[in-house]
Amino acid sequence: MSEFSGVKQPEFDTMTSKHAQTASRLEELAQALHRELKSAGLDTAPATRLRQLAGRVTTQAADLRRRQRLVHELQRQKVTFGRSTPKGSFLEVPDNLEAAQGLLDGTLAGRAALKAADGDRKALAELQKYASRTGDPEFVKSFLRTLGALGVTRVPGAIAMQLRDAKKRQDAEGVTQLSRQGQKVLGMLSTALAKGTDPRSPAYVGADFLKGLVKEGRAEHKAGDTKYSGYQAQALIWRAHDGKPPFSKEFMEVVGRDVIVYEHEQRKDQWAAAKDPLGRYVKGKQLPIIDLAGAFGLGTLLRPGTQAGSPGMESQSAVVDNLFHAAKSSREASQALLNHTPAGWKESVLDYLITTRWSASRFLNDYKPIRDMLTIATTGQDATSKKLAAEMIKTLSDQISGAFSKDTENLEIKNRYLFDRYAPLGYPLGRAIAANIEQLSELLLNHAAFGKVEAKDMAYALVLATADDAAFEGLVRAQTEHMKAALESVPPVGLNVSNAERLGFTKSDVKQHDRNGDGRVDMDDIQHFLVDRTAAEARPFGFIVETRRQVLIAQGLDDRKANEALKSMVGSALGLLPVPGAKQVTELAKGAFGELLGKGYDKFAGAAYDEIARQAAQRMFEHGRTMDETHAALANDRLAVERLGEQMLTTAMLNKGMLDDLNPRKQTFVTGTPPRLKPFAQMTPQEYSQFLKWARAEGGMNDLLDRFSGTFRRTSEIHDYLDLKVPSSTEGGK
Amino acid sequence: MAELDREAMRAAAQRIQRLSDEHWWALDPACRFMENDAWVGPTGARFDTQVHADQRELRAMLAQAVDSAKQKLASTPGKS
Repeated sequence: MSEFSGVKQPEFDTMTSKHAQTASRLEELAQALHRELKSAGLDTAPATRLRQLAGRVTTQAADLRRRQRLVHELQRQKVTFGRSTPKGSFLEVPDNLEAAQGLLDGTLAGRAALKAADGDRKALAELQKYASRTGDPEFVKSFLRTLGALGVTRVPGAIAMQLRDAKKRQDAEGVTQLSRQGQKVLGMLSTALAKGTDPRSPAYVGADFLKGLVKEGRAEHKAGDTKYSGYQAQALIWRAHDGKPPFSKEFMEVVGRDVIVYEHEQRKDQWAAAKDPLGRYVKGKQLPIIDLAGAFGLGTLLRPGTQAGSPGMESQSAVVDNLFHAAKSSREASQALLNHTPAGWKESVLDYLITTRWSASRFLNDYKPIRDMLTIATTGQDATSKKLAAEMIKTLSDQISGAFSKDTENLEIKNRYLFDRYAPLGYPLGRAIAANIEQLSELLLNHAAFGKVEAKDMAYALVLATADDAAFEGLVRAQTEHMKAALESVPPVGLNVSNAERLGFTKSDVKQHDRNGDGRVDMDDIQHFLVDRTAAEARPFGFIVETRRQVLIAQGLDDRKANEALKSMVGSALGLLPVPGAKQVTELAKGAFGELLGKGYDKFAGAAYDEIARQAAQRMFEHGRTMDETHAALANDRLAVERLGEQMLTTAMLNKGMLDDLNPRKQTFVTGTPPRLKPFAQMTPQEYSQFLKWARAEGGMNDLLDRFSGTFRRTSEIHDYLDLKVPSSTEGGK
Repeated sequence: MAELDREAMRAAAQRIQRLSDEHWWALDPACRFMENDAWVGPTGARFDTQVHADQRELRAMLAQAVDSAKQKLASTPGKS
């Protein structure tokens, strides 16, 4: 509880005036005393101290004046009132001057907003002026408290109605002005609302406000003679949100969840009537509740950044899509919406949105909010993200598996409707799998389960995901990082118990890897483990690339060219970039990697694979050079991935000291005395090509490359999972 | 500078005493308003404490100036 603070009048006013006078008197005193003491030959120190004192009192007087001005204004505007206490009758005023200013401005802004909610155009213009004050928590609190949940709901209603009327009248100038003002005010409201409804914000106005938003959201309101439901208006505020700060999970728990339940309550009968006995929407569409801008035909006039009159503006949004837009700036908020089963429901909100309600999303084609929300909710490394990722993978896999024929040689789509239906979710699905790329290996190699997802489910999920170009690229990048990390975990040549700790390994690592028990990890040992890891990593690669190939074939698309993103990964030598926080690098390798890391790359040690992959891609992009000339000629994705594999395996052999026996002298790619590898970043494509040729002279290299290729190209397993006919000839693709 | 003779020193001491008398109560209004709760709350309480301390400082400095003048006067020889 904060202490009471306030002033007694007229005593405070009198004190303020007197103190100003006192300040001048003390200034004069200090000067006069200084003169007297000096001319009498006395110590002038007292006068010096008095001059400092006068300075302090002057400052005090100025502060009192500032406070006095605010007190008068607060009283004049009837923001603050008298209050009786045992000590007398006081005007309550915030203790801190900024807070007092915030109280004043917030209250005045709130009053302007209330007038604007009643259609006052001048008040709307007035309100705009306060837009930049949302950085002040006291302002936000006073603003929202004055406006109330009802006011918050009615302001967008009033703006939308006025805009509709201006459009009807063909008042182009009015439309432009209202569009501009409306965008600004809605932006201001969304910032204030996000802050005021976050318990962790100093601007928090309390739980009752959230309950008020629900009550007004569900209630019917009127703008002129038009009726609308509160959430339709509040939705315009959510869509104006710029993410700073994000809406809180509490907002989503109280308001967000209710919005979804409310729509279902309102629409379930119509939705049921629009379906045929097979559950398809043939007798009508699955209509969502449209926001007020859509209902009034305003298109995107009230969305931030839209210029009135610009093309492509005539679109509609559903109330819930605007909600997803507000949620998607925060993982916690998004998860609060999705990871919840409303009372009496048999499915979670996540499942509901991508199955039962999905046709409503298809109706409007406004996919960005839901895709962004699903992506952020499922790509974290926390337990809830993983849970939601597994749920989404399983649900979509169950939906999509029936779209394909069984027992065909290649994948065939037998239900195009079903396949197209879920295509927009391919990207978030791919991102979720990429963030959990480790699970892909676990499923394939160890027959583990990921939530309720089994290997067969993952296969179908990959079909949907790899149909999306960006998702496919993300998956290849993530598996590339995964493989690099697996190779990195193999110890270097010469590891023994005395150097283990220095090199970042333990004594038990030595024991585990020293197969012939001679106390030292030697080349044969390393070769053995590299082969093992290579084979293990090649399998998920095979899965990803083969499902991509099959889904292209199923769609009648050309599977015979290489994806452009893959080609550029090869070209910029993504496979060469070391793992962040790599344990150690041999002498030979140090030169080669020196500059590739750049600043700050190492801080991604411990991040999720798809995040590292994104950063690695960023490095390569900045690096901007083409290293591997073969990328241009790569005929298909399999060859591209094999080339990436070669880059990775070469890096691993270099790093572990497996190439130390080879003599690099007199090669184009070495420099200096003693000869060191040139940094990769400085090698020309020809030198890089020479380097690879030289590395292949090390016998173990060919073995690794063959093992990678052989395992990677084995398609029988994935074909089994997809119920494809296994050809009678031996395994291996074209 | 020239040393003051006794008469000049006495006049100076008197002027210094007058400055002290005139300004002794300068901060008293603020102190009393605050003692009577003209402004309450944490910041007001800090101002209250400060202004009382300022009054003590004012009086201490005035007294110090007066004392040093008196002492010098006492040790100034009469008309030579």
